[in-house]
Amino acid sequence: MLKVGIVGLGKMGILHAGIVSALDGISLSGLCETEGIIRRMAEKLIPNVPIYGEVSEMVAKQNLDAVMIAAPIHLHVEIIRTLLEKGSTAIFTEKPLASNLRDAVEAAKAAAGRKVVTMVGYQKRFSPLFQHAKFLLEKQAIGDVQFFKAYSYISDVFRQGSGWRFKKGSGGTLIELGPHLLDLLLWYFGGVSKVSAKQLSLYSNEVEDYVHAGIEFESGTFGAVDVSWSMRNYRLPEICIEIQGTNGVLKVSDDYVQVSADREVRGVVEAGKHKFQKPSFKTNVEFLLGEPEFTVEDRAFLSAVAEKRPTEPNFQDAVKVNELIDRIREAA
Amino acid sequence: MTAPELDRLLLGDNPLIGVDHLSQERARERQARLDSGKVVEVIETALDSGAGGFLFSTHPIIYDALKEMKRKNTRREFGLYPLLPYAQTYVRIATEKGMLGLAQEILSKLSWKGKARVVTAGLSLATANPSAILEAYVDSELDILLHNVPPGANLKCVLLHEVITDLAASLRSTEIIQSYADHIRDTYHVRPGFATRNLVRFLTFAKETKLNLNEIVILTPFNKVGFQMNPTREACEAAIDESRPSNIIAMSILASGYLSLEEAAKYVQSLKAIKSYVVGVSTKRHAQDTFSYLSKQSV
Repeated sequence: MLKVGIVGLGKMGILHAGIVSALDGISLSGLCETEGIIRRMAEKLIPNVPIYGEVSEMVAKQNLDAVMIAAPIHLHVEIIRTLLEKGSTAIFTEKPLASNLRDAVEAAKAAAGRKVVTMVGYQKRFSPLFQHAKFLLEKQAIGDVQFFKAYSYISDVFRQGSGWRFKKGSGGTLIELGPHLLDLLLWYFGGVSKVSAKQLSLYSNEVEDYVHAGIEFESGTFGAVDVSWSMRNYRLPEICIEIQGTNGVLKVSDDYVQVSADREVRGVVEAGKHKFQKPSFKTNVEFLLGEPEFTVEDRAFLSAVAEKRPTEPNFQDAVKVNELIDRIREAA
Repeated sequence: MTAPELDRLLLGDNPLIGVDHLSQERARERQARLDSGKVVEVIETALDSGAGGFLFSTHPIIYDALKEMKRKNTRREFGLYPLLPYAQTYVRIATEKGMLGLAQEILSKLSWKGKARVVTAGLSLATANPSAILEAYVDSELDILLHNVPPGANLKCVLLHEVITDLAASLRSTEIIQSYADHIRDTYHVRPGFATRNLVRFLTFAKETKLNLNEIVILTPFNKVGFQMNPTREACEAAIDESRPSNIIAMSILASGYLSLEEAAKYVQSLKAIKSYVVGVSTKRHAQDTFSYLSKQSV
């Protein structure tokens, strides 16, 4: 049995607690929450798992094989530092790794020095749809990539919000909603060479509600990216990437993969337009909460922990997302 | 137990409130055209074409539609199957304000009856009793609903959203589930219902929790491609054969529109344990075609 602890009982911490607790071979052995009222409620709801107010207390009392962090972003690095000092050997943290590049680099360096198994919650990489798009790109289904356009939208913010997501230094739509999309772009296209950007504050006083960025990759691929939490008619978060290549167009979202190829690429795609919707991919999981990719992600991390091997997307991969976020902020 | 029996064919509300598990693009188009008058038209057509009940989330547009039907005062016998809570609203509040902010928001939005219950129970966030908060919330929602029941409509069961059911099943939160089931049965005299996308695990948990499988209603995906049937279609089929729950409502029978109505109906009708099934439609025409077809198939 692998023993897992979770830090933070917000929305994502509860989600991971629910998933981890349902996985075979895994024991949810500790939870940590600083807010007393939430802790008392959790004690009533989850009588079988000890709940602590401090991370150091949880790791001291439970001999944990892995810790998953789902605390506010600006606290990630401090928690990672504490865990490393206490000898943790496997750390998962929700995305993004940190609120800025300096903190992200510090966390990645500290973990690398101690050979810790790390993962950051860029779970879109575990969605069969975004994976299939990656496969099509690598197999040249649309030939050489020329340019792309991409967005990440949700209808969430139409007035001044409260909490750390709306504070300068810890919040804004780019760091809240952008990281998944930016991670996918880095995964698909590699290193970034140039960035230009523009941002707007529409409802928030301290942070941006809309960001538009032009990103040029070392491969020569160029594309336009829009991120906004103030986009109307997006009840659920939605990511979409449309890529044009020398042999056609590839469009991928949370719902479908669509490819139009001018010519057949043998064993990969036939000429013409093809649309693959979600039910045509295998999305069944051991236990479903939210989207299936969360379960696939947690299982991937915990399998790496059990086998003591590195995995992806790890802290190093996540540093690249933080670097891109900082470059977009500087350019805006 | 005198709880009412379930209807065989149910109208679902997802397409009416802009939910589409196959395509968010399609959902967005629909959401932009939302209008309670059209919702009323779809509900009435579905009922007149063979649907015996309406399964819905407590979305404002659905309340508006039910109010409108009550005002029109045309009598139709049909069952009401509310699904609580309308999760998306609460996920958004949790994202913005955290779990404490969410708990505060739930308490502040209770109806006067819900609030009165909170006062008499000496309930506050400081005493932090999640079961009592859930019951007060359910009372508050049903209070609004029961004031807006169209003539001939009857509450058949109250379904708990899958996010709560599945979390409880995983974390073995038996107390809140037992108290919810008792509350629905004792206060409303209908069957307590549970939505789940993890049927196999839920059935195991239900037995541990001593829920009566002949009493409770289970709303869960069943379709021939196994979409959203976890861990697998085969495991879900085997689990109902073994546990024999009496009141299953199959959802996602069209795998969100991926399957044709004919294929979908054939599969759910082949499974004896499925008592009812729910299908969402988006237009009057679609309602007529779908429910006339299904009511001819459904014996």
